[in-house]
Amino acid sequence: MALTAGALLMALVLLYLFTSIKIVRQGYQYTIEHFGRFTSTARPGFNFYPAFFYRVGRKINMMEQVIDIPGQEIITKDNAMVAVDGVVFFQVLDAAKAAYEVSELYVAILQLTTTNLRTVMGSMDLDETLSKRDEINARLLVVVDHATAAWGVKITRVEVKDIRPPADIVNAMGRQMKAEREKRANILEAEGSRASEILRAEGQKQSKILEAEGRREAAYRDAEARERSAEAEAKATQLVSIAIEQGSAQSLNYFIAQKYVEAVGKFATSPNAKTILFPVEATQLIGTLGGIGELAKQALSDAPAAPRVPAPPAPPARPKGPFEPSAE
Amino acid sequence: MTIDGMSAGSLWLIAALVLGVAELVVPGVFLVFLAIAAAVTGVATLALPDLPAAAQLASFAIWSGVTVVVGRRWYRDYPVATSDPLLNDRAARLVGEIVTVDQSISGGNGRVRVADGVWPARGPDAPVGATMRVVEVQSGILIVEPMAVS
Repeated sequence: MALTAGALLMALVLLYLFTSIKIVRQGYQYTIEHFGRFTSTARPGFNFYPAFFYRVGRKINMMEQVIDIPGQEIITKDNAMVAVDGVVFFQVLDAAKAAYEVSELYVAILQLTTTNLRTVMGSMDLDETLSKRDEINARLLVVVDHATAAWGVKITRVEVKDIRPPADIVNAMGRQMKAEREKRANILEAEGSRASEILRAEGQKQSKILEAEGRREAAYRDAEARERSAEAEAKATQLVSIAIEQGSAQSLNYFIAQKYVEAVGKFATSPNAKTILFPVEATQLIGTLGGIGELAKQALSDAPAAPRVPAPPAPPARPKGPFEPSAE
Repeated sequence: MTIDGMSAGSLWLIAALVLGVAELVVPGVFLVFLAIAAAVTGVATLALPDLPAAAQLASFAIWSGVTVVVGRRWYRDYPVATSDPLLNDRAARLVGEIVTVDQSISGGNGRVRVADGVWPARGPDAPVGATMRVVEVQSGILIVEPMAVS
């Protein structure tokens, strides 16, 4: 009898202790209810709440959690159907609110995110939804965060995972991109050939200009050369005429006779003709000799020389051309 | 009272050992106090061999209660030092952080950017891009103040 009573006492005490001691693991908080009314939250570690008066209400996960938003069909602003799925990261900040302000926290967050994903993406057209993921995420985060603040929950991140347009639209996009690139390639090629044609023409123009300049320069130099030679000729003629004037006209005859005799000598020595046709009268030759004799006579006699004639004036200076280099 | 030729005291000590091992194997169940109670009972039974079984059980029950109460007091007065008291308290961790205003604070309410997320904030009016310091957190809302111009 006493043994039974002892065993019963032991069983009761152990049971009471087991139900009163609440060991909370790190990462969780338990809400404690006193006759059904929330009193406090049990933090990680050893907690003792006498049984019968206190009981654990909810076990709240205080770690950051991820909820997968299942794939769904969304109609964009430009009436394209896209399949979208995503993830929500959230963390409970206030265990009591998360336990009692909302009845199904996970379901609530999931539904809220799903509906707002539809709202946000439905207000964009297809291209925007594909290129503005950051904006979608940011807008979703603000909306969902506002809504869940009352539940003691912080939405840390909302990410659209995958956006899949229908296959035919993807196909069209691919074609569009290809066409776009081909267009760019063609434009670039055309621009290249245009530029090369222009460069070639420029080169030809330049070479023609240079050539013409060369010719012009050469013509100038030719003209100058002719002028110079004419001037020299004039000068030589002038000197000869002065010389003749100072001497006598008979001295000319001497030179002419010399040349005449030389020419005749050349005829005689030429190898291809031993027969010489003399179109000139031999007497003329004799006459030249007579001229020389006259010359000698004149030189030896004391006859006065012929009066001197003044030299003819030098030719006037040539006007300079526009491209002619000015003389120093 | 003996079982299989073992004295009751030895049995209590074996029970204490089993409870202690169970505490190691099954974490989060508070068996260590019971192990201490069983050990005390075992020592008492060895010291007083003619202690009746009922008294032994009662002793175990009472000592269990006592050890739990003592343990509770002990943990209350000398709490287990955690290396990171702010663990799983994300909001409290942000106190003292420097944040930039993401949505201008006007009329006392706005939003600030923390890392890659955005938190609701309360504080003096500030334009977008202003840097603020978090001074406290009230139920998920950061109370910010302009950084002291030093």
